[in-house]
Amino acid sequence: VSRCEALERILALWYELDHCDPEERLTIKHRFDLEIIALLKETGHGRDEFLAAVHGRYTEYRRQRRAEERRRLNRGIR
Amino acid sequence: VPESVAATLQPDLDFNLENPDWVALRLVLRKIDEELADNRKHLFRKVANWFMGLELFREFEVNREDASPLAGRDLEFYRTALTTLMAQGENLVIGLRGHSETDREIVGFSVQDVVSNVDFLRLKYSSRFMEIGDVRRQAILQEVLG
Repeated sequence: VSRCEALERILALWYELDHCDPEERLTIKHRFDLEIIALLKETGHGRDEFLAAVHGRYTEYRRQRRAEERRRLNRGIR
Repeated sequence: VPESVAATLQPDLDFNLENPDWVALRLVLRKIDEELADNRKHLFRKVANWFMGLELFREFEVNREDASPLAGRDLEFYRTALTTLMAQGENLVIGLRGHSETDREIVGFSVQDVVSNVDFLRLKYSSRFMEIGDVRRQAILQEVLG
């Protein structure tokens, strides 16, 4: 499994964390943390520092995914 | 909106804001503050209001950033709203720890639900505001992602 695929999974879980109901956050956060731990092991970097480094990528991922979901919704309505 | 006009439209607010959505969010957070300070209000009602404020904040954040990244005054106000919600959530966790788990099950949430949502806000804060600099950022990305 490539590290880019691992990053994709982390961005997808971050998106879920951002859009889930409050009572689902505990479970999703646990999966999110496990993915990050697996990716960062043996690198010596902490979670917060890593997330700060990829924050720009996440906001871009979120913007594109929400735009895609809006397009899909519009196609469904027409 | 020119500052002179905004001041006329929003005479009672602490911030001279240009985006009316921030004004609405600030009013919600102020209302939650009032509820938290009112000892006659039931704790579980305060938690429900806080969850509502959290969802409004989150929805506003993602909708606003669909247009363009937060910057300048928008980013300052975002930071203020985020830290306000975090502090309110921390206060609620302290209050909830004084109740039994049975009390919390009756109303449909656990103290862990509130704790995990405060953690979620903390993650938002650190990922956006931790200052690591471009050189360090590139080094981390290179080392972790190759």
